[in-house]
Amino acid sequence: MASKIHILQPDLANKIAAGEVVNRPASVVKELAENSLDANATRITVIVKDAGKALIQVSDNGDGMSEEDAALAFARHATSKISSVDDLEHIRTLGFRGEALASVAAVSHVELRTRTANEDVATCLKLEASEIKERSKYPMEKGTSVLVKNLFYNTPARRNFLKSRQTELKNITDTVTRMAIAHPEVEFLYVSDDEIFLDLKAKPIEQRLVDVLGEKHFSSLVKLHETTDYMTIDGFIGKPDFARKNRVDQFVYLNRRFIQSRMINHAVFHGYEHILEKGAYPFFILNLILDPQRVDVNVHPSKLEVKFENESNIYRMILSVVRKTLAVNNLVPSVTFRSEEGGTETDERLRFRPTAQENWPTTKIDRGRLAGHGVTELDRRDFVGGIEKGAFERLFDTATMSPPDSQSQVGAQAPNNVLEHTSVPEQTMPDGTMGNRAIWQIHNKYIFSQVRSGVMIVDQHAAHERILYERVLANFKNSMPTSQQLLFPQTIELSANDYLLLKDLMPHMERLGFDMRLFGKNTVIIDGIPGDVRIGNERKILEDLLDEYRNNEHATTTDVRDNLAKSFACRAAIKSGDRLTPTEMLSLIDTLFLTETPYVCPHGRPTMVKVSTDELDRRFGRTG
Amino acid sequence: MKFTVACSELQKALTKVSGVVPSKSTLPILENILFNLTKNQLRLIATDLEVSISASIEVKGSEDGVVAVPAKRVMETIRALPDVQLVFQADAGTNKIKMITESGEYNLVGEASEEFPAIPQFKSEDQLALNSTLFRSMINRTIFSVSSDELRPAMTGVLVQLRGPEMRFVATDGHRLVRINYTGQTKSKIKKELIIPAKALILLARSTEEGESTISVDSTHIQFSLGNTTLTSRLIDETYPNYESVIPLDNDKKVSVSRDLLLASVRRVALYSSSTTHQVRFSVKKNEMKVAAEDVDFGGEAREKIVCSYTGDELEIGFNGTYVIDILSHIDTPEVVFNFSSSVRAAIITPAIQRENEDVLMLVMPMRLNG
Repeated sequence: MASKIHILQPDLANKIAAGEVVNRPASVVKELAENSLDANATRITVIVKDAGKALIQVSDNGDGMSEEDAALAFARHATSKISSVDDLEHIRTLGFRGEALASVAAVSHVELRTRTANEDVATCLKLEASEIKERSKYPMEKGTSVLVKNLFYNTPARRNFLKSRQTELKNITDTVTRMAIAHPEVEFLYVSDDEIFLDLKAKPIEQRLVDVLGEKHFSSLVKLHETTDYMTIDGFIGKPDFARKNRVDQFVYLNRRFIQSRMINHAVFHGYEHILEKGAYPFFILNLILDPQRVDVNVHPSKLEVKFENESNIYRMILSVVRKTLAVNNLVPSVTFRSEEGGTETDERLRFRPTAQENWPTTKIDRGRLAGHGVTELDRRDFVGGIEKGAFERLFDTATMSPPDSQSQVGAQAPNNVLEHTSVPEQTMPDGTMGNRAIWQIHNKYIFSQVRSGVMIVDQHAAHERILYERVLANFKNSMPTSQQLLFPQTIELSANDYLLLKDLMPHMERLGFDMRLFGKNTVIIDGIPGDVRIGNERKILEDLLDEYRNNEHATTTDVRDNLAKSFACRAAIKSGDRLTPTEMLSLIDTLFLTETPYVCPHGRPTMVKVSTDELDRRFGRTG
Repeated sequence: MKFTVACSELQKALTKVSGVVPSKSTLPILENILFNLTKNQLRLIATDLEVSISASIEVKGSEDGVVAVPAKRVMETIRALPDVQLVFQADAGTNKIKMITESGEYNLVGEASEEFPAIPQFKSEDQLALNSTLFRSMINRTIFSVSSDELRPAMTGVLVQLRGPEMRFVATDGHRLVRINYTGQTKSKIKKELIIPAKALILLARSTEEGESTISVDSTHIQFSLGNTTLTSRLIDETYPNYESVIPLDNDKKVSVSRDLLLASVRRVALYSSSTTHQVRFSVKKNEMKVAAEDVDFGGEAREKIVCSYTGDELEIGFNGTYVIDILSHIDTPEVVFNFSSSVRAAIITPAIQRENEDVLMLVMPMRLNG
């Protein structure tokens, strides 16, 4: 009986392997360009035709190969990059598996020209389906040039699975962009169908980013850097107002290798947690530099996924460095309208990120809401003891100013305009002219206020939440908070779960301003409540607080205090539906602007929206 | 229904009842005042279902009847008219109302009287007479510390304890408490405890009529009659917290201080307190009281020193400044006495000299000081 099992023919094996490494034109570009980088190239040219289906050519001025090496390069498991098992633990090159060229050659017509510094002329090899069909000599500069023609000509299934021309081209563009960002010291020229898409000179990273992303986009970034014994994190993160509704603009590099890691993305998102609207994703570029021994990049042939030795450590580091960077930089989101933002992009950007346009933050105004029923203009005489007239108009205007020149913004820490202005609040009003500061509460929910360039709408609950949240966090750090003692201590019976939770939280609750005694049998006695809790709500606040804490616990992994602060702020804040006096409203808004992040509530929803007079004019047809 | 009346007379009567008319009610009929004419007696009734007021005036009646009249419009019309004679007539079938003066005619549409909620029938069990000036003064000095917390309804009213000759008013919101004992009710034999809703008491305190009020109580309602005006209110059917047990008896640090000086001082200093906690610090040492506040958010700070008479140990204690201002504003003797124990225990404030037959005690819970 003939044996059923037999060893596959090498060309068949190569075709199968090619499926893992080379699955679209962009992967060919990636493999070839990585080879160029590993060969110490300082100039890489990528030329594609018909989105890589007709031709992919990657040329470099790197080390090149001798004739023997060149022939061997196309054999399976042929590599110059590692030689022992030990090397696998210390990988410092982008490639090492010895598969790329073999895989590419298996599914296309390849032409290789290469010359080392020691040779006079270049070796030229032509291959078809892994077989060398032609050898010749060819004069050219030192370096290597690989031409890949008719990709997937012999695997029709694969060829049919290629996406549209635009999609494939976009993938190639993304691939080149990713490498260009990671290697600013290398010149990149990227040509598609005789059109130059990218022509990047070797420049410092900042300039490279301007070239790749466009100046406007670059100006929205802040630099990030952190070094520890374990690893170094370098990069740039976007200001929250440049956040997108999808995840296109995130670049994570590990030792300058582009990788994808949900863990790292999550850590960064987490860092933005309080200042980004739900569903928005921040832009960021991160390069993690860590000992190759502490990470396994050999998880998948395409090496997009990696396995870290200590994930939680890395998570925490990224989270804290992102938080720190956000905290020391200006984080003011401006509320702008699509039409105002649209045309200001540089041409480069428009061409390379056609999807980005749709994702500018926009704010829709419900015109009916403005029609005014339920709006009462409050008596001006009520405005007593306020803050200097126009204080917050000024603030807000500063906040929405377009960022200054790109170069000056990054590197130097952007000054925090808001805090600068409010650090010297004025308690008195010079002449009692509060006139410009009209303020209304509508539907007992939103506060409308006239500001110099339009109308500001504040969500009273969200605003108060932000204030309480920051106050609580400050209380945790600083001295003991005030605690209003109760005449009738409140005895509250809790469920066993709540009781245990409260027991754990006791020390933190004290820092909040609660004065409590655990009485046993799931009973707790409240002797005092935080000074800023509205009177008579003790029991409810405590119960809601525990509920909210539990909810948050499921949703996030934030630390106890943060969660507690958030829960407390949410529960103790004025609700929508609470009527406010003008004095309260003014105090609320003024206090809001004293917070570190006045523009979003702790849950990430915006606290205020500004509608500019221009926008109103436009909607009323008063343009021009 | 038809009657003739002087505008000023009608306006006086309307003013008495209009305070109870709710401005926004889920029951629109409550925004009316019921006019009920029997011979020459016009009775006006308004209610918000919890509190009802009725007032009677003499008119020149020519046709009996009853109709519900839109409160706001009739009030404003009468107020805008000079003091002229007014003929008021209403069609019993259509409820169309016509008010005629010498020079004008005003038509409005009323509601059927059947729509108007019936005023609770009152079966008086216990009655007592009370000087209305004294009564108003008791109300005014307690009502400010009533709680607005709907979750603890007992504390949204004033506890009135009738113990024969002794009458006691108590109000608290859990942060401060006022207790006034009056022992001059020599004639009364009633022993009862009632919780009267704040709204009813506010309406009573607003009236300016002099004389003896008659108070009648049954199990669910209380009724106050003064002259030709009657206010009926539902009682709060809850158990009042055991306030006696929380009034400390051993506060031995007695500070005697001028009420005017201290009130003025706290008012000024409180301007610099945090806008959310209103915390004001008091430090007392031998014959000196320091009042201080700090606003961490906005960076303001104020300090004052006043003379007091005190010989005990030094003590520092914090209060919500608003509470202290409230309390001092409701004591009318030149000197007040603070009785402290420690910085986390209740402080008791009393007038230095009590009025005749009276014992006033005000209590305020401190704020634990930060630091």
